[in-house]
Amino acid sequence: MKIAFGPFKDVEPTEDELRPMTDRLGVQIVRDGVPVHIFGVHHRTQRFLDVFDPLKGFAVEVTSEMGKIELPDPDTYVDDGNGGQRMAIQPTVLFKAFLRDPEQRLIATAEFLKIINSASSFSEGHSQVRGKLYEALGLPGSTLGEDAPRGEQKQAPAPVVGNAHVNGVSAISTPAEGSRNKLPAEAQALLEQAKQAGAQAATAQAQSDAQVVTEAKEATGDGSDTAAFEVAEAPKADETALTVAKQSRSNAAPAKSGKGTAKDPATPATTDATNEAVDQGGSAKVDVTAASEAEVVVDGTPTQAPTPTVASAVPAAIQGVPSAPKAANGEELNANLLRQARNRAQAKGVPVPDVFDSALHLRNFYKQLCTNTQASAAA
Amino acid sequence: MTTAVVSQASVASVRPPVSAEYDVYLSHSSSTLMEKCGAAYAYRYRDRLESVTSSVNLGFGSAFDQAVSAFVIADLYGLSVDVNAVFVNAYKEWAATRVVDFSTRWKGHDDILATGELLLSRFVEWWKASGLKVMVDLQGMPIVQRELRVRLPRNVIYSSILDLVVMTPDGEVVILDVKTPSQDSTELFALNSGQLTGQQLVLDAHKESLGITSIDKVGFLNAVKRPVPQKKDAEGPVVAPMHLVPARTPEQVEEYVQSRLWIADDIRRKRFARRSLDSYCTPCTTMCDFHLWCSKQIRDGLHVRPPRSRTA
Ligand code: SF4
Repeated sequence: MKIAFGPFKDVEPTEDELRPMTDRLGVQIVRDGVPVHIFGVHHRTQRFLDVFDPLKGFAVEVTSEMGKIELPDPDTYVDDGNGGQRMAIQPTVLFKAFLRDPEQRLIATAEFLKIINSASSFSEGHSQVRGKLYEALGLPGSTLGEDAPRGEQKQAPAPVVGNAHVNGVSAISTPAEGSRNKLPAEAQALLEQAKQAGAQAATAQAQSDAQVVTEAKEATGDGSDTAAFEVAEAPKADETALTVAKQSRSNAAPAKSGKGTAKDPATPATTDATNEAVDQGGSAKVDVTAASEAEVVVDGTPTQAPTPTVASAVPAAIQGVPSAPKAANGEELNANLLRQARNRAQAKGVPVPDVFDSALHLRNFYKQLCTNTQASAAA
Repeated sequence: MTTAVVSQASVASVRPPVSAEYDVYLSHSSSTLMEKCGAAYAYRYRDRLESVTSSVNLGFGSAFDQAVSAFVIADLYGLSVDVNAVFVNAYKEWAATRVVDFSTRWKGHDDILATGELLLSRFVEWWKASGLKVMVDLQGMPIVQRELRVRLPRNVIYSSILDLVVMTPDGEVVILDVKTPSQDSTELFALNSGQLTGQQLVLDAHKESLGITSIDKVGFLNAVKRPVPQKKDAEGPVVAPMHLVPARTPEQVEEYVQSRLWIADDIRRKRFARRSLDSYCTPCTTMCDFHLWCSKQIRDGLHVRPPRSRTA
């Protein structure tokens, strides 16, 4: 690097005055196949003073003032409030440098906006604006022809170390932002249908349970106005549940079980009591999600008529699941598997054991649910 | 000369960034495009250029995804769905709004619809026999077409859409990516695919909120798209045998994270060089949407996508 023009014509830094320029990760910067070197401010000051000698009246003046903008600091990371990290926003100081000749005429100026993030930032700013002034006069800070951005000489940040969760990786957790359903409209509609049916079935369930309680109370002479009111309110929701159930099984085969005389043969009866209720236009306890396997239409015709399931299995599925994921033998149960098994059992109307004997018992139970699916869902 | 009075900024009191200009948003496809060719990345994501025509493969894949999503949800809840109708509607809707680019193996839309119908029926059979069931999250919602986002170090936001998270009959949790390629991929690809690693990365970060205790396997479900054969014995479209491979190790995930950070650095530093590679493996073919623009500055066949708003 030999300077060809200007006040520093023919100046050529020695090897000792140059050092390799690296990027933030510590990798040497190469341009056009040639490694870039830094000609630091400290070394350039000596060359500068040879030309603009203060003893001959030349003067460099540096001023500073608070910067009007704050900047993100690539050297300081802070909590982003979302479990992740982001660059800190830091104050800045604007440094200005002026070169005056012996007659106090302004020869050159330079400015540098410095992020203030440590006690030494201020003096670094001073040096850097001097470097910019040298550059303005034709004494560049690197073989590239410009000052190296200070941050580029930093060491690489500590490597991310691995474990189950990779360090520094955080879920963007707000439901609206971090996790989004991209379900197509048809799938979304099915989901809504399932949710609605599930909720209504649950309501119907609760109300039917209330009715059972009321009847039990009445049987024991403990009836009350409140209980009667609950029963009177029940049919509305139950009717809706029934409608949904019918819709979702429009091609369903007649019920295989259930002793009553349900109005719609495709709608499984639950108990004698609920069949009576249907006959009377009253409450029917029907679990839609317990209905059947998926009824798949690939060519315009259903490939399989679903097998309706006796809905009385559902309360067992809902109520009979152990709350703590432990088996009777003390083994921990896989929470994923347990939730999946509950879901699957509910969809099929299969009761879930109150307590699983062991982790293996749960595994076999789930496998069985899947195997049953395979057999009964075969086209 | 004035003396600045500067106090050390408190990291606790720093204000949030004023805008997203410091964040780099990456997905599998954008980061892979940057890896493949910086110039192509810049044309697509910086300049927002895209081809005025759309490959039929895109429309097929998207319609197939929609039908599969509807089917697996119906399967989960015991509901009825006409998967073929979902496919046909989705494909027709897609095709109605753009100029579709057919490769020579397809004669037209009817060909595509016939393949879709046959492939879907084979998929349904395959799914039933597999015993796979879609996983539900803590809210009881099936994990289907779920977009998950994570913040990586150094202000990189990575997002991924998971086609399916399923459980095998043996209770293993599997990330399954549904593809409709024209030929099957190998197990080797499943073992190395960055897309699957990225999906594991985001699911792992969201494990707690979704109630997933472990991720055991990852893999592709390749529904191989071929024209419906004229001859009786020819195979036509099929669901290829599935290659499920063990979930990535933490080191593999970390390597992937680092590689995304390098890509983000390259984007910030505007390293958008052309990457022609060698003649036997060059991406500079007519398959590159930007080949004319890039090599001859001819803008024909390209238009600018409207800007998209960010929510994160
Ligand atoms: S033609 Fe080649 S170099 Fe140009 S954008 Fe496409 S892939 Fe990149």
